[in-house]
Amino acid sequence: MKRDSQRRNENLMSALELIERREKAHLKITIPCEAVNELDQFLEGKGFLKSEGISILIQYGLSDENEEELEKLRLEKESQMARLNRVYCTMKFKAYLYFMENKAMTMRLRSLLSENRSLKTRLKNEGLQNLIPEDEWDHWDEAVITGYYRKYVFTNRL
Amino acid sequence: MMEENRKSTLTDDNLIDSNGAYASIVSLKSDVICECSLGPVPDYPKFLGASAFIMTVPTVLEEVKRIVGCPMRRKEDITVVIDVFLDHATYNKFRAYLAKSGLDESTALVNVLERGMANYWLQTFKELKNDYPRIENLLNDYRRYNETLKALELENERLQKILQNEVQHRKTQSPTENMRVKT
Repeated sequence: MKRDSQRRNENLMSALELIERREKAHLKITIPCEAVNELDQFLEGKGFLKSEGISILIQYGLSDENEEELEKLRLEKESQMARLNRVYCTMKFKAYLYFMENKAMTMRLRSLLSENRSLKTRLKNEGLQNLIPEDEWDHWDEAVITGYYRKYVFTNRL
Repeated sequence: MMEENRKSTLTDDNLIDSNGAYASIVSLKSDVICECSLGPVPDYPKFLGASAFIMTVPTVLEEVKRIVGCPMRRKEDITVVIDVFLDHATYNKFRAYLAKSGLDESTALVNVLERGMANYWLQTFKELKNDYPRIENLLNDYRRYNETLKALELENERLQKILQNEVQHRKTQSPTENMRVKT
């Protein structure tokens, strides 16, 4: 049993590695120990995993800005960073909360829609057409519902 | 005071073993140890003490070899392999930088990493600024959908109540209607 789960994990890991290899380019270079020590300290300070942090730093290090543009960005950062960061973090957190709530509600979407349609039919049968509201979800077909499932249930990305 | 004077003329000599343990040796002259700190292997602290203070460099190296079981090398002789996966755009940029700068791979990578570390906060700020509209749109989109779903839930409750009231109303009405039919 334990061996099975171990084998499954190994298979999963090798599949993920395979995907990573296929989608990404491999860089393997030897650098002096002193540079690595500085790098390790930096990554540790920022709470990065080594594999993740190095690729981010390479990306940042290869950015296109020249010194003049960097200086401009520096000035902009000094005046805006605190405010922008506060608003950005709040928005991201709110978006996350909505996303999680929507995820749970989308799992009940088919049942909610079916209940709504059945109630409207019953009202019609009872001769109460004037009480039936026109709603945007009246026109939601299978494609729309599947779209919401894909967006909220079958993804973990914000 | 005497210690102060001595330290001002000292030179550093860092040594490291294959396990990543290190010995920082400060020598008064080229071959005499006056201060030595070792770590992070647990056995290394044994090495600290009066005896280390007067040991010569070759003696220290011999002692380290005896404790650790392998010879120590100079720190600058040690290299580390950086093994990462990059997206193709970044990888191509690195290749272009290599070709343009004429540097060897190792120096080029160190330069790129140093630039990345130096500009880390600027790049983070730039990313945050670029990502801001995306998150704003996402939040509005999620909020709108959330409101729609809640409206759907509320409407179901409301319609349910209307139907219940209607059924109740008919029940209370039906005896009178029956009487009317009879008369």
